[in-house]
Amino acid sequence: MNWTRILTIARHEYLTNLRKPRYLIFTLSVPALALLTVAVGTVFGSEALAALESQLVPENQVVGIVDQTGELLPVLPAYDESIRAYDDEAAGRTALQEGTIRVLYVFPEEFIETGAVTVVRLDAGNSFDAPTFIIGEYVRERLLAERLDPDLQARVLNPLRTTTEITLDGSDERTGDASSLLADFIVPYMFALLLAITIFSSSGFLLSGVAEEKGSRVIEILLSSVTASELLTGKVLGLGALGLTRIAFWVASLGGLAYLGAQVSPLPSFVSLEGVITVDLLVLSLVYYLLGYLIYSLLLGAGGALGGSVQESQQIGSLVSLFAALPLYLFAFTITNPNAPIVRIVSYFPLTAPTAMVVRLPFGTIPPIDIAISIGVCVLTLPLIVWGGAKVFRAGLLNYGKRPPLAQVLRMIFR
Amino acid sequence: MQTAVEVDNLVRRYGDFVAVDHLSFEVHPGEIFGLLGPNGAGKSTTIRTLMGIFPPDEGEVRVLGTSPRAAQPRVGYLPEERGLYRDLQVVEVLLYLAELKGMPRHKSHRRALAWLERVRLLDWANERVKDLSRGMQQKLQFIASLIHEPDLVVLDEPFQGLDPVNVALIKGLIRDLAESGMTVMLSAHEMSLVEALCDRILLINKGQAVLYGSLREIKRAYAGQTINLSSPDRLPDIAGVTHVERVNGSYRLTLADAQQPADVLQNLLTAGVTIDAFEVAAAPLEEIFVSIVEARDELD
Repeated sequence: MNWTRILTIARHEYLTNLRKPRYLIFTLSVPALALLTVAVGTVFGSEALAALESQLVPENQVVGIVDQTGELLPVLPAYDESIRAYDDEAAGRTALQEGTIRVLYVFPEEFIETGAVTVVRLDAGNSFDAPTFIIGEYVRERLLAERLDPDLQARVLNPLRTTTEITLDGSDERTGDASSLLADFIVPYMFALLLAITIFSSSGFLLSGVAEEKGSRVIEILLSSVTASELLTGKVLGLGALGLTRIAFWVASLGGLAYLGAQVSPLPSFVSLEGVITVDLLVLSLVYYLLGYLIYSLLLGAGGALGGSVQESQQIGSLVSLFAALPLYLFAFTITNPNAPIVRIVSYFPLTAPTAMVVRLPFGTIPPIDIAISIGVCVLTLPLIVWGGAKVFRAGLLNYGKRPPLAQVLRMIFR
Repeated sequence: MQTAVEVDNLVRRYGDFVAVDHLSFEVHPGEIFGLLGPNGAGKSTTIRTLMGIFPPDEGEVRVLGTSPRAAQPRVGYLPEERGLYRDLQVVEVLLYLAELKGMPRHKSHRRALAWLERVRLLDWANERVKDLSRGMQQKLQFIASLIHEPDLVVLDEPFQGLDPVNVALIKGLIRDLAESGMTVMLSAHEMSLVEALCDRILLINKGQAVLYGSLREIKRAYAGQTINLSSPDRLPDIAGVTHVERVNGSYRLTLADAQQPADVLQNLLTAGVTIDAFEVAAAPLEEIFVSIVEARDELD
């Protein structure tokens, strides 16, 4: 292996792909979105969420009620602006017609026993909109108002106002309110998703690059100057560095934005990185990024070399991506329990381990044995993938025409 | 004198198909050598083996006195199936390919500009490859094979897709390369160009050598015992001549077996025939090519 030539290829791959619009747009869009969030937080301050909410829900939120039970009136002071009482249904309907209220709830005499209520709307709309939640909250609060002492009532209405989560061995402790649920979800979700996408897109550049070089026959000139192994190594290094550049840019720009934003105005808690993105998480994520990138890019490079056309190469690549993306399909399990058995199992296979771990890590404490096994299987499998991938890559590059069948691919590996 | 290319009993197979079958030949330094053959004869496979892209299944190949892989930095290659990085600038492509051959960027940049000027593409140096016409891309690829100053250049169909003006340009450049001491190995289907350029040729068919040697000698050998003669006189019977025919105002004389042309010339002069032109006929390469390939196909 000639490292001068390898580094020449790596530099070429890095610089040519760095200038591609699809790379630049995706790389810049993440900090741009974050900048927008910080800007909104800075301009609107604590009103940011309210401003956001006002964009998403209708202006008129006033609910009319007709109480025939005698239990729901007078309207509690806290609801003066959102609930308006009417003596009978006809008066309520008139108010609805005039647009004074958004929806009318008629509580019949037997409501307490049956829970049945009639809802009158102007037109057939979404029955799970904001007024539905307001009236539910109001009925609960009104019915309990004179029956329980304030503390007990508060617990019934909001049983778990703050939570402190600790691990059995005391290695982790987190306290949060309702909004930290957002922090516990949105930031890890975005982190995992962006990292997984970066692994796929860097590997994807390799696949499309090889397919294009093969399709345009440049490959023949390249192979008269370098070996297939040098070509593959150079591409893997160059495009791996490209992915790392993107991650480094994101970390630097997001960290910088979070810091600057916090100086100007307190950030909404759901964009806070504190306690969610830790150094441990970053280091481990980097390890899994590298392992994942190496495994997927080598397999996709070999796949790209096998295809007779760019389209065919992408079809072969999609088979590899299917495995790599499997942990993303288990996202619903992962976010509720990152140590669920099925999620742990996919962390033990080299083709799924990097993505699975990247997704698991931000959502909770992962058993060290899982980290050890997942890294171990990847590290042990990597030489096999390098060996087989390079052989297929070499044999596939000059195999123009029809895509070789599986038996021929196996012959390429074991020849 | 060290040979530029030495191929000894080369065999290359694709599964059960034998693409090159015990092929042997040599290319001498500084010559223009033609590698000819019909489609599917095994030319590209032979060339790819010389370029170190394929290893031989059997036999030995030496290029510039070493293995094809070790010789790569000193060899230039224009493949038959062409392609370049369409989204890159013209000069960037040249610098990258030269750098892969081991030429430093500062040096290759100067050479790239000089070559672009020579093939009338200097104004396009900073344009993207995809904005060039097909002929321009062809010329760009031609200079990409030479940018690193190789000792041997292998040109597979260098005239394909070029207009007559650019054919003449490339033809002149190939001659210049040979005159400067570079060895040129040329594969082309246009026999007139091969005749105009090559010193020696190898004709292969179905992976085997069917004709190999000096182009002049081959053409003479295949011309049979024929002489072209221009004379205003009516020809008498001449000793050693078995047949005379008029072709476009000239005479074509067929000589008896083992009869030397010089003896016939002496006989003509002795008989008092006025001679304006006397030429030992050579068969056109195209005729030789077709007759050999067809004869082989009939045998099979």
